[in-house]
Amino acid sequence: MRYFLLIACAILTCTACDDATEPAPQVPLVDLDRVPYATLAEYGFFEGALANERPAAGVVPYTVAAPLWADHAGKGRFMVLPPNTVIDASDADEWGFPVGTVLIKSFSYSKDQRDPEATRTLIETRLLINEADGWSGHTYIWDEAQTEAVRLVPGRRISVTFTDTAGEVATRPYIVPNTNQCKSCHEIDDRERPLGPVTRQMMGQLDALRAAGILDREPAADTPLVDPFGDAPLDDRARSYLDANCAHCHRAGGGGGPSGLVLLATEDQPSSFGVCKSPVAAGPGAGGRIHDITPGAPDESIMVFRMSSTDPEIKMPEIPNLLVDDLGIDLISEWIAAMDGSCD
Amino acid sequence: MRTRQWTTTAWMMLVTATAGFGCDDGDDSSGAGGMDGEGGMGGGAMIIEPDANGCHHRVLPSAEVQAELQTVLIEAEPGHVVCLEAGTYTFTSELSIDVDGLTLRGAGGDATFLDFGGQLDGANGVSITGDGVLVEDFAVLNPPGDGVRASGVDGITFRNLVVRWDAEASSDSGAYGLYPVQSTGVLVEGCIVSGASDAGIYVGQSRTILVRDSEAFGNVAGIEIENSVDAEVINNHAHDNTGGILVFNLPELPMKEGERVLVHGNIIENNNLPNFGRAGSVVSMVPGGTGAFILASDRNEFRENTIRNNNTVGMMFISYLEALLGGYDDDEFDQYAEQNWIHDNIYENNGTAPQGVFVDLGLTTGFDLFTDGCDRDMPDPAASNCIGEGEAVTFWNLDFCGSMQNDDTSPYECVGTALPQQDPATF
Repeated sequence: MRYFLLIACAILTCTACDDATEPAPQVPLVDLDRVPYATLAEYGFFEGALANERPAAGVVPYTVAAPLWADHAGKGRFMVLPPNTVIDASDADEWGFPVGTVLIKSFSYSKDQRDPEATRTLIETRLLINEADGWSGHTYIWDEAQTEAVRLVPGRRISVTFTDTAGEVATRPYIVPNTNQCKSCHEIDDRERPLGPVTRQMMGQLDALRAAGILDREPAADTPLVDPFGDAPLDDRARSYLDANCAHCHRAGGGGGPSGLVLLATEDQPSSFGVCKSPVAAGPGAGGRIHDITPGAPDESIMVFRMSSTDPEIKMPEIPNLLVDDLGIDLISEWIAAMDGSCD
Repeated sequence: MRTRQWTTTAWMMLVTATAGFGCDDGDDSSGAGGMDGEGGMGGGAMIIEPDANGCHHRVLPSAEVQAELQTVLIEAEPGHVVCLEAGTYTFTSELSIDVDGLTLRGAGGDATFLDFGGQLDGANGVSITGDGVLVEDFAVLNPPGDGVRASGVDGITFRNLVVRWDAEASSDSGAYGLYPVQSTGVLVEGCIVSGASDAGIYVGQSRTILVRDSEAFGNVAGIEIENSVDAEVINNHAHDNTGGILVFNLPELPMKEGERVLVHGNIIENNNLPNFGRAGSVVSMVPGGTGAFILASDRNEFRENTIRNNNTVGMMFISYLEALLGGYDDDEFDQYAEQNWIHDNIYENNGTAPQGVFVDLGLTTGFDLFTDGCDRDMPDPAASNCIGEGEAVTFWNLDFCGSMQNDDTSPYECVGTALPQQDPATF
């Protein structure tokens, strides 16, 4: 704490009195003794109006190759490393970030779905903070006036109102997850960790990270994910979609680990990624279907059944989306329909 | 701008000047007793002492209880006791517990009701991922998914809980009542679970387990121990389910081999509920009228149970038959039930009106004891199972892997390996 104040004071002093020295770019510096702060503004991640999300110096925007479905929400992603530190990307699946790193992800929706770029309302901003004892996730919910986001521990079910593509006013529920629920996706082997910034999601942005000075060596090789709705081969798109949307749980050590279903794009054993695999504890989630994937028969496949449900007992992923991803269902259905073979 | 290290003087200066930034950090040596304001975030959190009842936090029913209780469950310190007063608490979302050593305690399974009937999201009523958590003395009502799930934890105790679905024998009810999975050190005691569309008390892929003094009725499976090692199931009452007590091993799971489950001193009766499980689940093929059932699991011991009035079969041990259960892709899976020891149980009035697959097999009468007999066709007869029951027990060997159905118990007359009890003090 004292250290932080001294630095802050030194910066103020420089700015106010010592114009002979060129100030170094100010990187937002989180005080790990005080995090999580009560408000998003306190972190100083953004310049100008907070809701414009104009990154301050040292706040690096990024994106991922295959994004997670989040009920049509648009997303902003940023990373902030402590000054003069870099990412250790020697583990392709778990990049090493220095203590003090913050990953920022905002969720927004367009007020007018006919014109997605025109007006944008922020719903929540989530932070993953790398503290001395590991990552911790926190959620900040935006006010109506879009001036501030305050920390919210227990989560909240809210409703968002917008003009739909037909020009009608529409309302739908949206879940801001609680602090524990961060872990239901981000916790693997009992440790929270980032999901987006891994080699297979970030291959297209390595130059940008180098330019920002936070990556100094080539990451360990990995098979890159592709845009699930781009023009890559069907199999790559489907496996990328499943990796991005399911594999944080459906992997050894993840929340869906006990099922034995592994949906990482690198899994090469068909029965492990669901082909002719019987469910174990799916209960009603099986929907009377026998296998996770029945080749050639998406309608007989539990995977498609569960993606198509909004029933909390059946739906996949379990949280936090409330709407089904129609494009995702189409993609996985097309992929299963194109599979050869049978389970007999 | 919150720090307890500021002196009163510094604080007063700030307030007086309404200054924007607290650079006056001059003297922080007198931190103790400094003004904390509303802060207290991070660093040394305020220490909460338990009240006379041992509760660090007390929560009452209210319209905001979802947010209030969830906040307490997140912000509690390890080892804290969170107490729920008597009354009905209504939830629309899953509750989760990730703090190690936390206790969530109600005022009794007949006094504190956690009503999940209107739950809109989350696959469980209560989800536990913290180690060494104790949940006790409350009821979980009508969750759309599972009741209380503990996943991947080291130490979990369910004590005097009630999990209940009010709809009778409905496939729309949630799958599992109590649902520890991939965990070590699982204690279930004094619990009552009814109405689950899969298993009432289900322990999966876990190690070191004690299930005792509990009651399961009106479920598809009353008590099920699946792909788990070193368990004791004692002094429970499994009645009026489709199947009473099941010890299963299933393929294509991360934990391959379940074994050493000691099932003794239980009453397993009237498990005649026609199967209402959803097609696609393994338990949906358990015939109604099944008392106890070993499927593909090894080195278990069933002794001194009272098994009565189960209309299809009192006790059966069978292999994972692909003809019955479908194929699988798992080279490491051992499909045979081997080296189980079934002895000194009391059988009464079982097998009077078979259901399900027994009818499909053309069996017009059921039995006290039944096997597919496939264990006898293996190269090593020493790996077979042992039966030590009285003369009056009715027995049938279907000889599914051969062709000579018979009622001869003599090939099974041997003494198996006695299993140790679990030490309650270690949980």
